[in-house]
Amino acid sequence: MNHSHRKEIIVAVPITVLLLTIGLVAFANAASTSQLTILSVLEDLFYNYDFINPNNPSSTNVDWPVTMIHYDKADVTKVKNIYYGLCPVTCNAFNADLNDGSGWIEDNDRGTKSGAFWSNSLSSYVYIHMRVYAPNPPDYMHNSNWGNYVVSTTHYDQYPSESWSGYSQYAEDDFATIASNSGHAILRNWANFYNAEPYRVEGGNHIWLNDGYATFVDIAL
Amino acid sequence: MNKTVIATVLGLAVVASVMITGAVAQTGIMAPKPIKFVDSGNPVIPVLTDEEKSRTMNIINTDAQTSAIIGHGNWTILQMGPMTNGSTKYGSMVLIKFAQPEWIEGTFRSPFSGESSNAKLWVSAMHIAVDLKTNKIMGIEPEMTRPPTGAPIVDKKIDEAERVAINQPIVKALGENPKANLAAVYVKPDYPSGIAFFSISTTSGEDLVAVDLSNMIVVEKYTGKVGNR
Repeated sequence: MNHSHRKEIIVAVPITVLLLTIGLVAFANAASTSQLTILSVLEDLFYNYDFINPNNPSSTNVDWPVTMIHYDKADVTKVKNIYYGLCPVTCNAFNADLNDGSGWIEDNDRGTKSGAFWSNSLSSYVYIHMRVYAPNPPDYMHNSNWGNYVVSTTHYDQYPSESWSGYSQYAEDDFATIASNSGHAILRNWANFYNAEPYRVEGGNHIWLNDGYATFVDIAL
Repeated sequence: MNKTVIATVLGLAVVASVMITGAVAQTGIMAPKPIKFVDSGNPVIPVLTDEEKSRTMNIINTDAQTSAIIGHGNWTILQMGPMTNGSTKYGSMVLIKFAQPEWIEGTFRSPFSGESSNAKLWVSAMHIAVDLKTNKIMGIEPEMTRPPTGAPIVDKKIDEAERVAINQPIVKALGENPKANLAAVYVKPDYPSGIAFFSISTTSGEDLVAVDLSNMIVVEKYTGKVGNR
C-alpha cells in the first residue's frame, strides 16, 4: 500500500465513522408504532403521527401521535401564540405529511415550548412542547367541515436535563386546559385518531402514552 | 327476556343514539376515518407479562436503594410498561407517585441518559427501570416537584444561593413578599460544585431559579416563570 492510499484511508475512516454516527443517532431517535395510518376527512388526508426524518413516512420513523386539531379559523402562528409562541432553534424541527386535497406535501416545525411547567399529572416540573403542522403557504389546511385547521402533536420533556420525552396524553390534556382558560371552546378527546399507545419506553428515552382520541380546539377569531 | 325488558333496552338504545347523534349535530365536527396503511413493516409492540410485572416489583422492593426510597412514603404505581428497542423488549419501567413530596438524597443513574448524578431533591414522581435479563435495577430518575415549606438541609452555600435567587429581577417583577423553597441540588459533570433550584412564590405566581453553586451566578436557561394550566 503506498502513502497516498494510506492517507485516503486515514481521512476516509474518520469521515465514515462520523457519517455512520450521525446516521445512527438519527435512527436511534426515531420510534416505532403499530398504529400508523392515514386519516381522511372530506378531501383531506394526513398521517396520525409526525416523523423524525424527512421524506420517510413509515412506522419505524415516527416521533409522536397527532393529539390535537385547532380548527375553524386556525393557522400555525395564531395557534402557537395561544401557548408559548414560536420555539427558536433550541427545538428540533420534525415532519408531518399532509394532503390538503391537491397532493401530498411535507411540513416541518419546531413547535411551541414552555419553560418550566407544572404537570398536575406527574406532580413534577416538566417542559411542555407542541409541534404544529400545515402546508406553508397558507399555513393551514382547509375543508368545509373543519374550516382552517392545523395538525398538532404534544409531549413533555424532562425538566431540567431533558433526559426523556413523552406522555403525549398528559401534554394534550394540559394544552387543552390552557386553550380553554384562554377562552377557546374545546372538545376534549373528541375523535378517534387510531393512535392509542400503551405505556412503554422505546429507544432508551421515548415514553409512549396516548389514549388515541384527539382534542379539538375552536379558533373562532 | 320478557317484552317489558326488551322494550326498556330498545328505548334506552334509542335515547342513547339520539344523545350521541345530537352531540355530533351540535358540534358539527366530523371525525376522520382511517385508511388502511399499506406498510407491512408496522412492528409488533411488546407488552409486559404478569410474571414480568410481578418480578419487576419484587426487584424494586428488594433492591437496597429503591426499597430505601419507597420504604418511607405512601406511593402508588402510576404507570408500568416495557422498555423496548423497536420490537425487542429488554426491561421494564415503573412510574411511581408519592402521596406527598418526599426529600431524597443519593447518587442516581438515569435510565434514560445513562448519566449519574449526586442529587438531593423533593420528589413526587420517580421513574425506576428494571433490567429483565439481569434482574437488577437499571436506573432511577427522581423527578423534581414543588417543594413544601421548610429547609430540608442546613448549608451556608444553599443559604447564600437562596439570597441570590430571591434578588433576581424576574423574582422582583413577580410580586410582593417572595418566599423561596429549595427544590433540588444536583452535582453533575457540568456543575461539579452543584446547581441549586429554588421555587419562589408570591401571591401572583411561581418562578424557578437555578443557581450555580461554584460562582453563585443564576443559570438563565433553567430560570423563569413556571407555566401551569
